[in-house]
Amino acid sequence: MYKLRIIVSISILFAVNSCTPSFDDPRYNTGTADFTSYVALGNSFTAGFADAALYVEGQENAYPAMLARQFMMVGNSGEFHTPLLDAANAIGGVNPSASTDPLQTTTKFILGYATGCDGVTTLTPVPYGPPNTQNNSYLQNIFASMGPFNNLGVPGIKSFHLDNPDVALLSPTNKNYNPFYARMASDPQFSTILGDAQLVNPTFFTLWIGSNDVLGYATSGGISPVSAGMNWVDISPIDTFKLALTNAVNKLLATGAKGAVGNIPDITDIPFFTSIPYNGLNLTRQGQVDTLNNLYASLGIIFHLGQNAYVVADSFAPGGVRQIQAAELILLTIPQEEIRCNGMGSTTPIPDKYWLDQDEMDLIRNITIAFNNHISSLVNNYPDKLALVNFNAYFNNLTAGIIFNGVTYTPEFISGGAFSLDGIHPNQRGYALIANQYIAVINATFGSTIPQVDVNKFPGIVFP
Amino acid sequence: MRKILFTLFSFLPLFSLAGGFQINTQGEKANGMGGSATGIGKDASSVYFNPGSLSLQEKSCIMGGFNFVSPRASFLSPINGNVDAEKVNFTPFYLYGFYKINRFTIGLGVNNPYGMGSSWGDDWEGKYIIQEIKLNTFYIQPTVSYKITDRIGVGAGFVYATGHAFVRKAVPVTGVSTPYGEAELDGNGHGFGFNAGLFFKLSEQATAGLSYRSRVKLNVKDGDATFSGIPSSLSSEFPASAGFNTEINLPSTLSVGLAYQFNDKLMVALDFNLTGWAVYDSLNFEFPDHPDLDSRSGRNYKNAIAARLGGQYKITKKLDFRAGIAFDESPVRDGYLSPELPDANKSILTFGAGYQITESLSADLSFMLENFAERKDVNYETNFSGKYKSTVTVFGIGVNYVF
Repeated sequence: MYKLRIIVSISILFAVNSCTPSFDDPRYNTGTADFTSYVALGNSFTAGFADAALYVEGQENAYPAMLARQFMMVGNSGEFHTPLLDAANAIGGVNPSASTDPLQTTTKFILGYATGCDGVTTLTPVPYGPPNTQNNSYLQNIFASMGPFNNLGVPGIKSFHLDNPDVALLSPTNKNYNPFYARMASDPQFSTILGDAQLVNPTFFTLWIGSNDVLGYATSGGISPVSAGMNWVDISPIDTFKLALTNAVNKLLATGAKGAVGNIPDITDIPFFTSIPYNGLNLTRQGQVDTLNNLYASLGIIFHLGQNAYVVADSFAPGGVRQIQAAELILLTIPQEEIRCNGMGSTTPIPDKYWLDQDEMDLIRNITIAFNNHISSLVNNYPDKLALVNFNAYFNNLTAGIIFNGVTYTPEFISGGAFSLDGIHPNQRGYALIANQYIAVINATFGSTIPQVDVNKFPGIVFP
Repeated sequence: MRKILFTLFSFLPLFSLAGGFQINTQGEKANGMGGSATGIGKDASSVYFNPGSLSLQEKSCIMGGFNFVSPRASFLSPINGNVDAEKVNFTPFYLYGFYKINRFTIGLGVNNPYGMGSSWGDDWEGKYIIQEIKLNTFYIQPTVSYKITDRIGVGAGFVYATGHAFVRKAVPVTGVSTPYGEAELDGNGHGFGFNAGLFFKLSEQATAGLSYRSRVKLNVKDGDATFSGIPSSLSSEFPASAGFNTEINLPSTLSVGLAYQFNDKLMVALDFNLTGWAVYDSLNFEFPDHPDLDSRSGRNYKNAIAARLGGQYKITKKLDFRAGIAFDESPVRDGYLSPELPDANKSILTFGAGYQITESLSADLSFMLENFAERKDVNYETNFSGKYKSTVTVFGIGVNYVF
């Protein structure tokens, strides 16, 4: 009986002591880099721009903010300042480039129902609210009260704006004025973005610049009359680009910081360029086919029932019009109402600014390669101080789908889950995937063990 | 075996005993001895372990009991560090009886040979893969055994099986007030199989057995799938409720066992099992009214072996002490490990005790500790990666009545 009592009590002890086989808390290490103070430089992708606007929620979860939170596990001080818009502007957001007047802004897009001119209601991006014509408080400079800033992402800048004090100068003749920098500059008209980066005494930086040097041209449909120039619609001259990048990298390294540098994605991997099918002209009635065949008879363009290639304006084509080719691209900015009800793409050709022809695409591709080659060579000069984040390859991989913890992400507009409603900027989950790209490369280059970000916990596309 | 820990419980009904989600705690005497029961043939649990031995046993017998199973799992995530699975406990039971009529014996068994359950919390990082899963099975087996000679017995039983499966996971759609949706699948199924065995009395001391429990295909028809938290613009893709069909393939087990009575105090037994898990190739769901929701998911299990060694020592005339060890291979291949069933090769340690209350009535206790090897994997389909570590403890109690 005595032995039975022992056995029973031991068994109860074991049964009650159903301890969980937990793992020890992991220790993350910083490798050869120092993440104490982190500064991020870049354009709208770095600022957290999404859904066609800069708004507070996007800023709070911009990828540099995500990185800063991860860096806290490897020594970051926890001080990360973003030039947040205030609550009034948080209603929608700001996008001064939506009109030529920086004082007139528009709001962000959300997914909602809209009835088109053809009476068809679809689920489509719609403005969250009316344009913000009254409240321009966002233009007030906030450096004194909220700076210095760790997120120096400025929507709309090209490579040569990083070291240019004119960026904060509001003047009718200054085409380099950018209200996003003007509101956070440490000394408007005298300070530069690169100069402001030094104010946080950075030990680590990320630099992702140059996309607009080619995207400005691409998103405006390649209408620039020059082969290279300094306007938004131009491609930056290659020497200007190289000088600007080299200068930026040198100045940032001179602070003693190490960093990660991102390169430029291909436009064919971005839904803004690939969502509208070249043959979206759907003719359902024979009468429509007959009218178009007659209209273009002299040019020999033949239509049929079903899907047809759109008609586009091409000054090099006979008659100035032709059908778009399968490999050519139509931009997401094309006004849907014109296509649906006013014959754009059929009875009237699609204007130059809404599409890219093969030559324009070749130019963009070659320039992207040249720019990226320069970025790679810069990084290769400092193998122990700089890491290259190959976003060109990453966005290409995204087209095949990336699965994160059971959820699949693709670049498809709206349904793919990785891009926001403007078709160019990622949504927060897309930015989280980008943050993980930085982390993977930083870990590989500097030997750190920074943990990944949980992509799925950020908001995705919100459906009504 | 590396583990020298002797647990009193050797029953682990619900949480993958013989690899995968087989439960090998089907009798306390067997449990106490590492589950090495095929060649012993001394109690009514042979209805399950080896029906051939029933006709060679001396007396008719009824036996019943249940086990208290506590699986505990932890996951080391590259994002969030250590995550503990929620604590769930199970109580599978068994009831066996057989009646001797001359050379024939008729018997009946009801038990829960397969089951599993995992719950990881609603908001954890794997919520789009699984939040909660439960599988219960119930087998009923009418059995016949025939004494061919005084040394050879044969037996067979027909198996009718029912099962209940429940799966809950998050749906990656975000609404204005719902960060993600929920999907719940709930279904009952049934299937058939058989259980056959041969038992040999090799000598006064040695006995051996061979048994084969067939595979059972549980057909789940008209299961209930409900989707909630779905934004109204997507309600046509994810209806509030839909019927589904699925099939759960439960494997066969081929066992061979040996038992040797050294003296009137000590008996040792050895068992090998080969479980045909390769039949569990994929898990598919079919939605007859919503084919867009149909899904196929590879599982690609492989056949798995287990080896068991147990001993029973008569401490006093009334009190037996038991101990056993076992090694159980996991049928889950690398690349297929998933938090629904974080399986791994396991080492098992058991303890048991039996007490003769009266001449006819006895009671048994058993305790089993299963230790799963730490296992790291990246799942091919979901890209979910991390390390898993699990243990299961089982406490069992049963009574035996001979007549």
